[in-house]
Amino acid sequence: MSKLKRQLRPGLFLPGIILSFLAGSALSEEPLRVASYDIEVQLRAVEKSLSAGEHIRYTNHSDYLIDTLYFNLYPNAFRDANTLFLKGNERLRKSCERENNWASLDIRRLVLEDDEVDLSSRLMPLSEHDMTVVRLPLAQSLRPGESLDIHIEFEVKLPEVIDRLGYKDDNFIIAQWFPKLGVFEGARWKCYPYQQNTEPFADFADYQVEVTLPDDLVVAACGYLQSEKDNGHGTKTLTYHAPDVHDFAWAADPNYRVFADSLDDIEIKLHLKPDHTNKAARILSAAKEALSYCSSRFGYYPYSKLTIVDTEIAGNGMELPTMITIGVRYFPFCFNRFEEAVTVHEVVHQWFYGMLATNQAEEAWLDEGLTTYVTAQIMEQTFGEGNFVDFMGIQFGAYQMDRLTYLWESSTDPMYQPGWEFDTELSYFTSTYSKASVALKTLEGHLGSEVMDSVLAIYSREFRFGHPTTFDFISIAEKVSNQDLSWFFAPVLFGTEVCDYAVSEIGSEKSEENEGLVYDHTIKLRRLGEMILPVEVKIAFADGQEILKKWDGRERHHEIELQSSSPVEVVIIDPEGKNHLDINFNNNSRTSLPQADAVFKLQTRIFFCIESVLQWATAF
Amino acid sequence: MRTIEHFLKGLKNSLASWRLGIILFVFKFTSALFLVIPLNALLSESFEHNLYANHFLTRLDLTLIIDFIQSNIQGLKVYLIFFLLTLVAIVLLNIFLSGAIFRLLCDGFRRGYYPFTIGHFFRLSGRYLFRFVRLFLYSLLFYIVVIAFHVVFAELSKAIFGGSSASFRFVWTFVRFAITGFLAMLVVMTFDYAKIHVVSVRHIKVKMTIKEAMIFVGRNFGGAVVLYLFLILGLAVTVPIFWGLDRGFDLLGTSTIVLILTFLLQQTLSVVRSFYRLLIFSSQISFFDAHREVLPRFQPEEEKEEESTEST
Repeated sequence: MSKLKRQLRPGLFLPGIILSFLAGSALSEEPLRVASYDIEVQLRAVEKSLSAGEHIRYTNHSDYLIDTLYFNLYPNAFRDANTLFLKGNERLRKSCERENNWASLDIRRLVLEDDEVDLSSRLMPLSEHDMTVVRLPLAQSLRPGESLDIHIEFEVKLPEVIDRLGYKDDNFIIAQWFPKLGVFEGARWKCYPYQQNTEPFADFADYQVEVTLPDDLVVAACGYLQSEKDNGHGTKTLTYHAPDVHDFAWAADPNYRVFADSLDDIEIKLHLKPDHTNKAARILSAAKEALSYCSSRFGYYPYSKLTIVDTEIAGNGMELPTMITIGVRYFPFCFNRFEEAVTVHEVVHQWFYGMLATNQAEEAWLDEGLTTYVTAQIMEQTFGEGNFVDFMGIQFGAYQMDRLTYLWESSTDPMYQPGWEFDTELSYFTSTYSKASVALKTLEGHLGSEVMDSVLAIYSREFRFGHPTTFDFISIAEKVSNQDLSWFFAPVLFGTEVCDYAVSEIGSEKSEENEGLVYDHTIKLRRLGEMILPVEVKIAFADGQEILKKWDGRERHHEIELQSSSPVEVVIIDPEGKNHLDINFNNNSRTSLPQADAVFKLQTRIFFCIESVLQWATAF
Repeated sequence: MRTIEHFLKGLKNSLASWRLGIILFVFKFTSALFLVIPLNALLSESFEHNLYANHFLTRLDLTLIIDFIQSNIQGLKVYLIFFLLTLVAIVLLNIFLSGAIFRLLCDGFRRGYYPFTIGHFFRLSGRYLFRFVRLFLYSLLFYIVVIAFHVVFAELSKAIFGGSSASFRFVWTFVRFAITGFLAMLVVMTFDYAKIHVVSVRHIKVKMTIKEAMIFVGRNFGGAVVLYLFLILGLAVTVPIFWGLDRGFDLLGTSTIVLILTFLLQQTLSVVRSFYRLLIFSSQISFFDAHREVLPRFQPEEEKEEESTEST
């Protein structure tokens, strides 16, 4: 499909509200190319190491003089037990010590321009014990608009997979492996030490990578394969070009089985381990669903290739530009859609990370939260109610999973804070993934689905190939919804309080008046949590009449007094289910009459379960 | 064919001992009632006036269940402790009842008559209580050995097969669990025969009954295992039958009468399972009696003494 056709395609799916906002603004076709990376790397499969030469051409696109360069050397996060990363992960640190499993990135030589002076000894680590960020003071500042050539020779010692780098048997996953420049933004470098709960942040660049490795290895990589050369002596060299991306990674395994599919002009290649080939159709189908959904809403996918790799890394999957990894599990029975959910999540990241390259270290919620929220939508649209688990009548969706994990740890950390400030990995996960998804679902409830779709569509188009921030997102949301949303974002993003509203009492008194029998009702509502969100209250009467009241949700106790000719049947807080942040739906309604049948059914089922447990106990 | 014969004899004996089945069911029912009452209080508080509780009439709404757990987490922790302590007490009570049940089943099978008085039942329960408790404690030791074997076997498997393909490791994991399950089954079976031994032989030490039960199972390994597996299979068949009936009742609607019928269906299955427990014991008694001559020290209790005990 031509670019023009792809450009037009979103218009076919999007509602008018988005089109009116987008009128006159074309999608950004390409990013600002701040750097280009030209890397030649050799994998020494037996020694488990990489030997590489890298040429970076960096251009100062800022309005400031740059007098220092900052590089990320991610493999050094696993150099010894004293690194920031391992200090933040006790279990991993002990495992590395026990197995004597370490990684490192050593710069052997660094020269600038055509100079012959090796500057590698002038590299200064940010801290004594952490070599994941090094800085190089420049003899002459780089002026705005000027470019600089940097030549680096480096060696990487690969560990048995730690986090996202290393080998497992004869499988290699080589991610975050080369010296990479930080992002110079707002007159300062944003180049963060690699720590638990932080993710890389980089500028868009042009990558040209030559990988030399044993010829029996099947390789999956970011970007496009340009050439493959047999070197003899059992090695081959593959050349990849990845334009307009902010990272480059690759994986290799002698046993990968490759499956190909396509969506319009996007080629999808899936690399699976032999044991997992039975999942190929499911994964490819999920990837296509996600690509199609996101392309139609958040702007077309600008690359002609998507590579999916089956590899074992920390977490279930990893997003990389034009490539995703998923940890496929060997489980022949189809009780859940784990692989589909991970695939969809990582494909959605091609937008909310790949093209909207947010600062994952400082505001991880912005890409992880949006991605988790959109993943749940795609899963529900594609697979229905039980889209995550559907087993023996028990149905559980991806969104319910998000809410469950949010409830698990709902108030430890705020959503918006740097990754390294989260209390635990679980707290990071629940805040940036689950709470963010639940919060966005709540925002959708308040704004309406159409407005929320527009917010995401406009945000993703406006900041395509950029580095948007949380405040850019808020600004778009306020602009599109035409309202001040600080009442929502302030407590949700920056607070740890929880939301819980309850109907505590329905009091009714009968009295005789001129018109006949009249009921005086007093309905008591309570705010049990600290988070304040406006809520609607529906009061339904026995004669079928319904009243909708609004409550700003501020008072601890709120009373509604009213008169009617019929008794109250039920009072419901948030009758349309807009407020997903409420941590207890069970106290959101109160009926006048008991739900005897429902409770009886639940109780008898539990009773029967206990009887079954006792059947086992009588075996002794 | 012998398996079927023992099964049929066991069936006849357990039906004739219907009072024991009722005792087992009533014991189970009252125990479950005792366990469920505190939980029902929590459930009523959350769901009695909750509009969304009507979801339970048609499906298990996990969102409501999750919210219930989250909002009652402290209460549920206390309930869990209560549940576990009560479960231990119920297991001990069951051990107390087991002595009389085994003895009366043996008597019925061997003599063909089924005299039953509550007083006689509890006298027999008291008579065998300490020996059955000791058997229970010994059985726990055996289960610990089985679990230790499982752990060691798992570690060994990891060391040997850790690098093999995922499909092989998956199948091997199944095999490992099947082996552990089989060993646990052997423990259950052996201790069932030990219990039969205790109520069949007078003045015998508990350790000796375990040893002789092991000898018995060892010498009749094939027959004993086939019979037990056959019996377990029969019990397993009730699960899909119940499942199908339960689903069928769901289709009838959500009226009060259907809910009561569903409850009755559940209790019918509970009664069937109580009788099935008797069937397992009776079939094993039949098997034991058919092969007991292999035991070198088997000396049945004197019938005269037994009869005099029963007449009191």
